[in-house]
Amino acid sequence: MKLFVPITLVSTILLITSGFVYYLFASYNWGAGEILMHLHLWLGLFFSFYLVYAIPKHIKNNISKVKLNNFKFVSYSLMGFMFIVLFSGILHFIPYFSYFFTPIYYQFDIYNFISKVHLIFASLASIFLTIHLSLHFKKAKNENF
Amino acid sequence: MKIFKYKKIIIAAFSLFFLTSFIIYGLNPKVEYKGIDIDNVDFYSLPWDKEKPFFPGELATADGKMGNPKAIPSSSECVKCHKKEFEEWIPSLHSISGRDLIYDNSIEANVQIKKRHHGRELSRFCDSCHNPIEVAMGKNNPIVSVEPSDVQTEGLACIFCHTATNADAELGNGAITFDLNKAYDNLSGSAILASPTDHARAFGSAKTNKLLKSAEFCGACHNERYYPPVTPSQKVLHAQSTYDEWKSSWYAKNNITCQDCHMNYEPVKFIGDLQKGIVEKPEKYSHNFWGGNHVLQDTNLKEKLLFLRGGVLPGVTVKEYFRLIDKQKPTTLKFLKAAAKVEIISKKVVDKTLEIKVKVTNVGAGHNLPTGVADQKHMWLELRVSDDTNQTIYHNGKTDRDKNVVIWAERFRDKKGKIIMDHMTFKTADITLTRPSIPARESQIITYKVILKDALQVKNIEAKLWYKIAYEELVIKTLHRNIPIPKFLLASDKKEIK
Repeated sequence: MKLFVPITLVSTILLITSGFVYYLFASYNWGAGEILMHLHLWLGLFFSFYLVYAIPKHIKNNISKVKLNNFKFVSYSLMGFMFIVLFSGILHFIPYFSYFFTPIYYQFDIYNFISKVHLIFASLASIFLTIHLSLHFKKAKNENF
Repeated sequence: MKIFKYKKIIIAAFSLFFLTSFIIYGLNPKVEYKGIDIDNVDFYSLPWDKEKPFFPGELATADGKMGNPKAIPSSSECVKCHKKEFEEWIPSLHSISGRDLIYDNSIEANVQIKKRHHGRELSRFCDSCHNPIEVAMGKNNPIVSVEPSDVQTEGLACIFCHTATNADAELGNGAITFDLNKAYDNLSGSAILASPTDHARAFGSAKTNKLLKSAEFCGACHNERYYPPVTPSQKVLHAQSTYDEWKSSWYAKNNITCQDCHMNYEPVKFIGDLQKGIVEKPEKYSHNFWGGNHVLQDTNLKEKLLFLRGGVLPGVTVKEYFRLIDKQKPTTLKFLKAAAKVEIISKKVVDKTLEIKVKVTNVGAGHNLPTGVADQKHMWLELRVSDDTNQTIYHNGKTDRDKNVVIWAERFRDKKGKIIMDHMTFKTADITLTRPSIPARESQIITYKVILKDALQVKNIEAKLWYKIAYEELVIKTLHRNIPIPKFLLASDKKEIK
């Protein structure tokens, strides 16, 4: 679990930035935007698998050290948001991947809903991740674990 | 905030992202497709209204520009994700409205008779409905300077309807505005499925989706008027009034639209239900466009069918093409049969004259029978009276050319009043009717008087309502072959006299 924080941080930053750049700027250059989207989707998929593997261990190793309620609240909220972001991301990935076999897709309205959920909860997750890390270090400094 | 303990990682991650993005954007120059200004289409001829580049057709593009052949996709590019819709559309007449050989050669024949009077430009009138994408790319021109592309050969291709923004059924003659120059995807297949916002921009605007459900959309082509410079007529000629017929019918009053029957997955059941007073509009619509042309779905013609349909369409193999047509054919035949009913309603002998009344009813069509450009599509009644040995006593309407045959057809006439049988639209000066067509849910009663030698000899009376999609003259004119066109039995009735 030594690499948990670096992997999570790097992946989150890459996913958040690529997602926002695609969302805001893809229409300025669709060719480049599409490459970013491919990277975003595949990285998102691998990160999802990684979190499924790593999060239980991360909780197991650290839960006993957590005493502050607000830290617990932030951490569990972050986990919930991450779950929604990754789940809505996988809902984007399924039709993307299905194209190479038998294409499946949703109605535009459903896509719009999933995309909005993905975007909103990705924003919340990045804010809560920042708070989570901040609180973590604050506590570490105060030796309050 | 001690989060910056990881500042090296954070900086490295951001740097990695921006470097990657910089490389990606740097290596992918922006590609943008735009419509082509009419002035930039070399040699494009505008002999009439300079503001209406597709005149005498009423077609228009939303941005007023010509289509870009490099950008506009063929329907075969839609098949990967919209296989079902594509396979329904393929056997329909909409997919071959521009390439059907008889139509294509008929255009050529019309152009030739007006070749010194902007014949080629006049073909924009016909192709505005039959081949709108070709028209909107500037192909209907004496000198063709537009590069070919698959979509130009697909008649009413996917992108035509799915980018339409406006339709005027009262005006007719292809009065559809379509946003042709936004009809392309910026993303490739798999990426579209992950993020279809751009695909929706191109093909799924709310305005288009609403328009596609309306009868007015169909009416913009299924209302056809002839006037100069298309024809030498002195007045506006109503060549096709299918939309107007529907508009004044029971169907329009009850909000049963064209789509409800012609794009129904079970059209015959739907028509049957309507007759019973059950109105259940379909939840989903098909792309079969059920219609009246059974010959161009007759797979028994084998390779001749392929020839008549102008070859195989992009995106399917010949084997697949025939399989799909075969699948659609039975419903087309049943659909036709659901339109009409024939009844021998009375028979009496007065002074050695047998008087027979035959009632022909339009039971299933939401427009008149026959409809469309009825100088070719026509129906007639056959009546045969026979004795107990099945010897014919009286026979009328054995063919559509019999003397005194009861026939429903339009007659195109030239300036001298001579009947034009080969659909030479550009020389049609007048249109007359052999008898009025039968409006939806209405009947006509035809009375026959048969002079008998012996009234007791009459045993059987049989009435048949036949339908034919074209006259042989059209085939002779367009294919230079004298091929009989098969007739189709719409309805019949038989009475035995005891």
